[in-house]
Amino acid sequence: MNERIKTDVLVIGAGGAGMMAAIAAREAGARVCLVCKTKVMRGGATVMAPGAIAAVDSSWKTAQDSIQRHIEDTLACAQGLADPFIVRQTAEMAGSMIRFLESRGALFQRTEDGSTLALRTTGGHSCYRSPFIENRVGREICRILWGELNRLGVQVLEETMLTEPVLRDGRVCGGAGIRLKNCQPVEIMAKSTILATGGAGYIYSLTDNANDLTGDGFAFALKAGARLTDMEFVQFYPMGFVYPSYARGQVAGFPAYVRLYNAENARFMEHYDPRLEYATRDALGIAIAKEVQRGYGSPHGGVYCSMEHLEPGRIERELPGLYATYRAAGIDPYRDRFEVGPAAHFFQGGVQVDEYRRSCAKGLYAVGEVAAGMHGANRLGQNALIEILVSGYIAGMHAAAADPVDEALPLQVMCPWQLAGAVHRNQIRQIMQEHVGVLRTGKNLESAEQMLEGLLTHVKPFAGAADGWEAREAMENLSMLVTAACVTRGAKLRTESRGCHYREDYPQKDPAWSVHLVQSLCDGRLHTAMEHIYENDN
Amino acid sequence: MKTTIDILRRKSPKEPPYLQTYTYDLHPGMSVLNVLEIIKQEDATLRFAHCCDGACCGICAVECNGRPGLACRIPAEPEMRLAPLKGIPVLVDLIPDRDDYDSRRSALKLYPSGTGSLDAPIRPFPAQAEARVKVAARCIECLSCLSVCPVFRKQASGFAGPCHFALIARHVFDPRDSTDRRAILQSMQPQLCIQCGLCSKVCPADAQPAEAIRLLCHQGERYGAVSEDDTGT
Repeated sequence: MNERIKTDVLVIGAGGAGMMAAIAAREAGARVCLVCKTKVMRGGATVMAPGAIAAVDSSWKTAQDSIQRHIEDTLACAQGLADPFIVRQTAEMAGSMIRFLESRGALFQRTEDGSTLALRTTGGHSCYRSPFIENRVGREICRILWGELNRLGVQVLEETMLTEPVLRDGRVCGGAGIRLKNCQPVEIMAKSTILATGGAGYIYSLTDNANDLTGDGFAFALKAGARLTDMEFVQFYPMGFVYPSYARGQVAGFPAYVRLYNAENARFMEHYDPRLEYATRDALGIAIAKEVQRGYGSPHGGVYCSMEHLEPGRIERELPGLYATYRAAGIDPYRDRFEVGPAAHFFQGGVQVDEYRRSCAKGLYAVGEVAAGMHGANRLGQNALIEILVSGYIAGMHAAAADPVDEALPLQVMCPWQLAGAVHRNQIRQIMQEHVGVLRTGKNLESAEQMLEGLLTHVKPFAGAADGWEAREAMENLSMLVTAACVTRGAKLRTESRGCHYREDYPQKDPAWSVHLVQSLCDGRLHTAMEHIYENDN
Repeated sequence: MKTTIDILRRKSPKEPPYLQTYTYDLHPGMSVLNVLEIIKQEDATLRFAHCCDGACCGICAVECNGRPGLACRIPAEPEMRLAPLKGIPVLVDLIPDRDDYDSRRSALKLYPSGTGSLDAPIRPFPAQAEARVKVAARCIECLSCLSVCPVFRKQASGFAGPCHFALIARHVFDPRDSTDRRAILQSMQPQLCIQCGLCSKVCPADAQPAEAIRLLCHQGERYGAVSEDDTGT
């Protein structure tokens, strides 16, 4: 008989969003079960996040800054597709999230006199507004939230992968999957289920994402009857290492520290954007890809990143982790230029949610990167970490107060499916990298769609595996395929360029495309519909 | 260039280890993790842990030519020899069993007493305390330090192990945190540290566990509620 666990709130995914949701639900009095396919703090995106966390608060803001300016910067970057309510809600609650973390032992770097928080900025922000700690902000957040979970005694199931929704009369009331340690099935019953599984940067072969970001939540949500929106908007971090392979895909630099040059030694951003390296990530990524396409790229398909203008000592002082990477890779950043290019970084799209982060599938919530709404067509740097905390907090509180499930209703538990084999994983990643990357065309997207459909014939019901690693890979491959199909479908249908979705055959933004593309499963096939944008309350 | 790599493998915790040699093409700029991924294309049975490939998750630590480090951060070289971390139980091949470590960790109570607040004040932080907390908080729990610590490897000593001290040190060094941790710290036996400094030498995150232990010992009776004097004000 399958292992069966009963709880009030099931949280799937233990990055920052999932942990915050679990804490909020527990604090609200619910029994909580937090499930994670890795060990906690050993996977996910949050623990890797280096930069800073955007938050305006009277205690540390600069004189000219305001919550309103944070909202305006975010909406401008999102190019019409963010949910203005979610943006406002997030900006207004941002300060309280930092205060909460500090009250639980987090340390954000102070100014030189120690009196208040030091702040960073990045492209698209009109002010310095983002607290930070060295270049490991995400780890600091995870560390504090993990401590809180321990203090609260939240039940945590590590190395457990839930891929299938459990339904009662159409309401999501838990998840089913596999315990990876022994490959045994497990079902978790709950009145509310919160997806916090992150994005799917790993569907690209050049990415700074961890190898567990495979879109499991997108596939789960579709199976549960939820809708995905804006899936075509994948942000590429413009300055990932393309060489050496030692650090391939990893974040190689930050706008505040670098200058970009092409093979002709020209600071090419001058021709693309007056903000130069401070341009938003979409603009930088497109400019770099175009330089490479024009034949002005570096030998390994990127451009050159320079930090020669910085005063000695600054890099190791402010970015010690990155400095260690440079040195280990044989790079002296004060002297050497190194090759960088756009690496898949973040999914702006995801599960369509309301202000409480509820999906349209009853009982199912989505928080963090797996949810859409905050970032629209392009995410403003430093906004991800604050979004995960606010969305986790709101969903956790709300999910804890949900009505109990009527257990007399018939239970529907689906069996996991898989796409086994490293070869299929590599194929998906290659197809996405080559055909659905920064510069897109209708022809490439069409052929990508056909190749991905070809892989569907290899999908089979899960029938056991040699061990947990093999089981996980096989189930992740299916999530990757589903996610790749959604991204490709959205990118093919959106015949315009907006934010980080750039169509070479439709290079202009088209006001007629101020709509969301919403995808759902209908009789086992992806169904796509257009939906008008959220009312602007800004 | 064509070269070889020897990997100390083990099919399960109960089976004996054996050495397997692989041949591969070594290119400039490759990491040990790159090499392992190439080998896995040929031998899907090889097991090694990795996730972020960027020195954040701490799970890819292995011993390379007798020295521990993160596979994602060790530059590859000809004729390497890889083994799982010494002194840590092995699940399979290069993957350590972290269950014992995790249960010891949870006993440390790595959180301040009391509860959180959404409108808590942001308090000033003395510079020296900030520096100490910052350094100790860099630990990514890769377990490299445990594998080289001569005191930890004498299991009977009861010495907690360097990274455990780095983990708890950030709370002890924090002047905002008044939790009494004396009993926990005493049970960790920091006084057994011989200050050989090996842990700090192999730490890929520069968390300086040896310095954390030295400071914790130096603060003697006042491990618990650290006064502001202890943290540099």
